[in-house]
Amino acid sequence: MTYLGLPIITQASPTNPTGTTDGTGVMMGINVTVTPNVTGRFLIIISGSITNSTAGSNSTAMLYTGTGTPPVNGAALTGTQLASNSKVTRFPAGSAVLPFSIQGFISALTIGTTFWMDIALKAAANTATVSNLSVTAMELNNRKLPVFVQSSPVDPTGTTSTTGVMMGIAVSITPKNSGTIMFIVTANIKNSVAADGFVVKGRFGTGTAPNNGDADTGTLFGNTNGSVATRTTGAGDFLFVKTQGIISGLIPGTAYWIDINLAAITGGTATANNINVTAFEL
Amino acid sequence: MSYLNIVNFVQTSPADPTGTTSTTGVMMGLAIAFTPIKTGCMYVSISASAQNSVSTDGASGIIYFGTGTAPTNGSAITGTQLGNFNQITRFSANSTLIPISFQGVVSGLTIGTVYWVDIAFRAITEGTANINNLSVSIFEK
Repeated sequence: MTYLGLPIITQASPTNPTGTTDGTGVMMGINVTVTPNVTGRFLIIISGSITNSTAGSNSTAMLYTGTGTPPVNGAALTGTQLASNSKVTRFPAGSAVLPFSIQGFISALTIGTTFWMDIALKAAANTATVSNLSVTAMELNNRKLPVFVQSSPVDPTGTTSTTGVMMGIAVSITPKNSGTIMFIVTANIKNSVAADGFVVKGRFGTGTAPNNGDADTGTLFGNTNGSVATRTTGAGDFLFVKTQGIISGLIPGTAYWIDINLAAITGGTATANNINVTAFEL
Repeated sequence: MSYLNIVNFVQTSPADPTGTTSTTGVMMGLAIAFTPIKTGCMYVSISASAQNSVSTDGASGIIYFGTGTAPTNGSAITGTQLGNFNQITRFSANSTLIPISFQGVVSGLTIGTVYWVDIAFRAITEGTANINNLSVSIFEK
């Protein structure tokens, strides 16, 4: 199958939306839209900063998409949630901002039908706010039918290991064409002891996928030192983490598992929640 | 020669750049080179960890790209901004590392021209801001 149209990209930095005190979540109304033109398959990534007016309160961001009139700021939740939540459970001070990022891969969109993407935000208490948003949407234009996976696995059991063990999320992707895959994994990670931090590293491999708690195995994607937080705000407080990389030379037709290796840096129990895995063949 | 079926990408983990005390921002000098060969549409994703020597002073960064000689570490901001900035306004302790990420996509780049990609980084109020453990993924869509 050959696609001849021009694929769509959107890069937007919308105005900082008004925050919310809502505990179930409301739309931010960032009003970013795209219209599929070629394949109807989009990678959407939104990064930015998140905060709460009170240090000890949670703020949670969610990625939603839909068709029709885009929601306005403060509107009730609408559309379809794409990917896991991204949350920060405590901030170093009231209104101190920390980074977050959410991404997802969406397919089977109708060519010519405009869809919107938005952040939904909720506060456990007080006022949650997102700012400095960078919205990236790309229609993937593989001339052959592309391979992708979008997965939000069940929260795995945490670890006290300081050398790192596998989380056992066992997400699978099988390249068919180029054998070049982009892996993106985001998560919220905490340590039961604030000063003990965590390290997360991306891993992939063939054969039987590792189980939760297994020794380190597979091949690294991303930085060799991993994605590091040397200290969380408080004991058991979640921070956002992202690790990503592009790997070439994979064998078409061979299934590869995707996992993360998680370690506590000095002690405590490190735990990953809201893991969101996006992988696609370039 | 047709480049349509070539997967054009860069995946790199550059050495940790020297930090900065600048509060207006300087280039980190990553000097990552990428040459569009088919569509001129470049996607950049960077994940890393950021810190400041003083917990209350924060750190902020943004992707820049351009042509010509790549900027060196500590040089003035140059090039074209890609995406929005991301920041940490306060850390829970001095020199604490916190994960941070940036991304953006741009079209209309000139086929066959080498582009550099870098991060402009700054301390928000004072202290020394660093960005470490970088993983940079770039591909041509």
